[in-house]
Amino acid sequence: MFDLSPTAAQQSAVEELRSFRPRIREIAREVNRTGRLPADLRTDLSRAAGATPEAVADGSSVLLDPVGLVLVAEELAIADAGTALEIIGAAQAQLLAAALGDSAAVERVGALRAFGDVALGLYEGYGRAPSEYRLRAERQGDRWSLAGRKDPVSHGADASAVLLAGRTDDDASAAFLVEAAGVQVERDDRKEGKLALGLVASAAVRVDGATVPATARIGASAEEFTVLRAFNTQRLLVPAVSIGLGQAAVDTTAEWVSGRKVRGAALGRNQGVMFPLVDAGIALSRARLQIWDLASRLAEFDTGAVLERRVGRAVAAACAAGTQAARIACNTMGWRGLSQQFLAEARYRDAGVLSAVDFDVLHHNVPVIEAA
Amino acid sequence: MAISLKPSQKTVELVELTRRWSLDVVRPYAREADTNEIYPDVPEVIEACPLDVAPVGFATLRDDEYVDRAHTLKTDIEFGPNVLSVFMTEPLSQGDSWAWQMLHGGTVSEDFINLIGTPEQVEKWCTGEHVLTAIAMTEDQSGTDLAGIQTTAVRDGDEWVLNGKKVFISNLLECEWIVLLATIDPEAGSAGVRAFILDRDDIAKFDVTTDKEDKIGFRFIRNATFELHDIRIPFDRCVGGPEAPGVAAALGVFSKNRATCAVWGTSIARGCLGFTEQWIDERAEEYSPARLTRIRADFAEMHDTLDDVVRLALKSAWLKDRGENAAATACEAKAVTPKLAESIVLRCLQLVGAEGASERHLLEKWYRDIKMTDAMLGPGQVQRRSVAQMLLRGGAGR
Amino acid sequence: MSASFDLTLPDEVVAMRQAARSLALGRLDAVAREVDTTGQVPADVAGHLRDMGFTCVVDSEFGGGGVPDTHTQLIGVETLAHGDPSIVGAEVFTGGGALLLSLLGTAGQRRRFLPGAAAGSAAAPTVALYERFEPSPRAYDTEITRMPDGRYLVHGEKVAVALGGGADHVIVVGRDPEQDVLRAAVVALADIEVASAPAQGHLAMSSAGLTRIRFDVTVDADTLLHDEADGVTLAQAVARTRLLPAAVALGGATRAREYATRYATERVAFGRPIISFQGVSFTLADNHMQLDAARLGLWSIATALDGLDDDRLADEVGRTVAECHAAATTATRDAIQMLGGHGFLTDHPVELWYRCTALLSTIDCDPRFTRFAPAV
Repeated sequence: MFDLSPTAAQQSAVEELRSFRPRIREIAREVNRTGRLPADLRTDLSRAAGATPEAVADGSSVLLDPVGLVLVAEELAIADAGTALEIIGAAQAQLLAAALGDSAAVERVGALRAFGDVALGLYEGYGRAPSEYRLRAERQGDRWSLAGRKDPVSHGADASAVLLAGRTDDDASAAFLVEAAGVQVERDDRKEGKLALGLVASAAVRVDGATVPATARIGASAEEFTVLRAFNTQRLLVPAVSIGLGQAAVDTTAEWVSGRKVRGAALGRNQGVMFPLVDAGIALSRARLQIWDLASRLAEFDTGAVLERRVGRAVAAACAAGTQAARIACNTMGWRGLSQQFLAEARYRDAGVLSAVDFDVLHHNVPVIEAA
Repeated sequence: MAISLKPSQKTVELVELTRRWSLDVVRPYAREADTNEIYPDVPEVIEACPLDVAPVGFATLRDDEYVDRAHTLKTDIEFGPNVLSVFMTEPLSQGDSWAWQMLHGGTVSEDFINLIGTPEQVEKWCTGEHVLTAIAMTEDQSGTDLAGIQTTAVRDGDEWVLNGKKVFISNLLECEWIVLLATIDPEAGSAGVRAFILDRDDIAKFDVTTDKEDKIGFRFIRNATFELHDIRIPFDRCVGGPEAPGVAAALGVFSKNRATCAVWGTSIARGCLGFTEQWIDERAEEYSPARLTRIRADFAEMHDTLDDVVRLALKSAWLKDRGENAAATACEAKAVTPKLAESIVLRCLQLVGAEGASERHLLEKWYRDIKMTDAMLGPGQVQRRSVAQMLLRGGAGR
Repeated sequence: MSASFDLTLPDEVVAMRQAARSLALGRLDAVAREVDTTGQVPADVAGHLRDMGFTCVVDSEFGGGGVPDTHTQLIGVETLAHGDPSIVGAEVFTGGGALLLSLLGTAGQRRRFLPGAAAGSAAAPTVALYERFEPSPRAYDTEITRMPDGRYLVHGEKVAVALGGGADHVIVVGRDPEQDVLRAAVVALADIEVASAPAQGHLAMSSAGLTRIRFDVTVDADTLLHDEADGVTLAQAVARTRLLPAAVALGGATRAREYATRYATERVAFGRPIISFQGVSFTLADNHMQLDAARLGLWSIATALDGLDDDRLADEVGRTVAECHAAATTATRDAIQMLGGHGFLTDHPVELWYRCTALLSTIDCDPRFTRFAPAV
């Protein structure tokens, strides 16, 4: 029934993460430059976010519920988008195994995480939704032969294993756990550099006919729609982070404006300054409620097509709202919005990178001409 | 507790009943309501409504009142009367807007008295049979800005003497009583403004210069302009008494109504969309494939857009139900919804083409009607101004 | 205008524009509400409009003011629409046949119809151009087909045919399926069945008498207009005809923007004129920019009518028209908004303009060039 209250566990996770916000912000620029999060902070945040192997394995993690994932991601992203992606991203492969009902795989991935990241190879680019993924698994006796490309994959270049989302030759959605040795790195963003989100070690990877044993397939007994839903659920991380960073941009800019005078008058009295900020806030509210609604009823969709249309639209709306908020924040602060003294320009870059990760031209209505 | 934006099954059922009522029973009289510029005299339409009380009145339901004629839905009020009112406003005007105005509890005057009136006033004016009431705020030089009110109320012994002019007042000649805003201290700005109750006998003494403003839409609602020349009313008609902190405290009723007013717009747009989809479906083979694909994508996006803004209204209603500050969210919903709803109606008009603008169909009426939802309770700029102020104070919330 | 980029208006165009503006604000403005209610344009107003020579263009050979170039006509029509887009829009629709005949009529057709149109003694033929489902002339469903006996079959359905001027002939534009070219034929209204008679009221342009007509009639070969004359093709003449309502919409919207601006400087709220709120002034400035951009688009396509193949031309016109209508509907909407509750009242003309720009936007709307795109 209609209710906008988080569960008690979600609420306490969010509140605990909020207490880290000042510290994360303080070092946000630094960690995204070096790509290294202090070990103690990583430990604390992973525990508070329910992102540890143990919490996922024993079912206590708030991230297992899509709504919890979205709430935690937004809260962390208000502090720093890169940190949110890094902390939650580390748990995504294991969360996917859990969503597929494969408890053995949850344990296996959890154990592997002790030795390094298990990356999740989800996105392919070209606007493809999970039902359109072209990473192909062909049955060869009692093994699978895998071929395809994933981009971007967090820790695709340095993970101990990669969980690849793809489709089998009889056109079923399927996930395969592949050791790092079986995967080629096509592009390592750590080496080449990228626009933003330096904390996230993204890469493009490919498999060219590598064969894996039948046991590599995770959730082999799950129904098609369950698998598709599990893939789509993990797509909610990016839009939730986009909303969080957008909200941070709006809030910090409003705070900055409220203390500022121009020619003796409060800057905030200018509707030309405030209205775009208000509109950015409204767009974020809309996108947030859309995602909450979606996350809370993922189990109800009866076709993959409807589900993916909903997820695609939510991703597009959240990313558009995030980029808009970040852009307005820069504009409002004038040259300060472009200076590295402030986080505004970093959020602008973050938002741009995020919005490109899961971009689908079908959902991104660049108006030919706006209908009024 | 867990986040969910789903209505209960019972609500879903009542929404569907109400939608059917609006489409099948109300819509056939829509053209007549527009042409004659008055509510059609068909009491059976109102009696057929599955709702017992207008959704805007849910929040002030009395113990002996029910939401629906079947008396089953009151249990749903556990998720809050304001949330329920948003859910129930969505289907209400899909057929046309004229009829629900006639339901009990459709105006805010009673809310006003319930909020800031004395117990005696509540007892006298807000119990017993519901009657049609009206509210008089707007003046030539003041709309949403209370400080601009120039109508005065001067105490003279046991009476108040009222002088001034009110414009654009809905239902003046049809109502049983009216709440009228006037200042008891013109120097004090908005703090000097009080609300007064005037009954039919008082209204009969008004100098009504226009009983029906000619306007673009919602023509079934008559709007009057009138002057007050030394109208004397008893002292106890000042809502809450002259010492009360003024009407500002009661303006909260408008924040609740902002959400339902926004959803009024989505309801019109949704009805319009349904009509247009059917029209296009019946002629699908007439379109080139490229256009039909684009049109279908447009429809999907328009429905989704309406869902988006209804959620904003639901959120503000939910906050209101919990006694939290809903003002910012309500303003957000009201700031964006009319423009979007209007662009949807225009889009439908364009998709149907020149025939869409002809009086053969109701699209042209809805295009005129939808414009009215914009100014009601303040246009977009005023809403944004309010949100901006809250944002600067760090209180726009999430 | 000169061939290379130049936005300077020749002196005679400036003078013409002044004359049009004084007619618009001096007379059209005053009768707008009355015409909206009665559907009748007062005779003196009709006469003045005819004399201006923009809404009903007649070759000087037959007593008219001559055929202005496309730009001049667009500017003239837009300026007149400042007074009232509904009246001017209706005149543009009812007078459209005179332009086609002046450009492409046969000698016989011109002799027969143009002198009366110039003198105001007989209505010019009206034009049956727009269709319900196919906005692009290149793909019109209406066909004008040569029969074995040399006559032509005119078959199809047209909307927004303006019968309000009292025309007894209509120029039907359709496609010749064998030659794959556009054709236009003059058809007597007496010979066909008017599908939706009586004409129904519309949101605006009450004097236009917009009607849907179904054609299934055989006509003689001499009713056909020329495919080309003096270097102007039928496709170009049709394109020019489609641009005129867009100019009307821009004129009405520009007036609405001016009206709202003036209102905003006078209306006081929260202690100061509302124009001093950037939420108001920025919106008006945005409207101004969008209208300007759309107008430049309109002028730009007007210079290119003879430089595009027929397919490109039809699409470019569709795109330009869509942009004009989007800017115009937005500006009139925002103008109503600026007037607050007053915007809805018929005391102010803004609601008339709002209705009119909406109506104009429905007549020539191609879903390929516009899309519902809610602002984020």
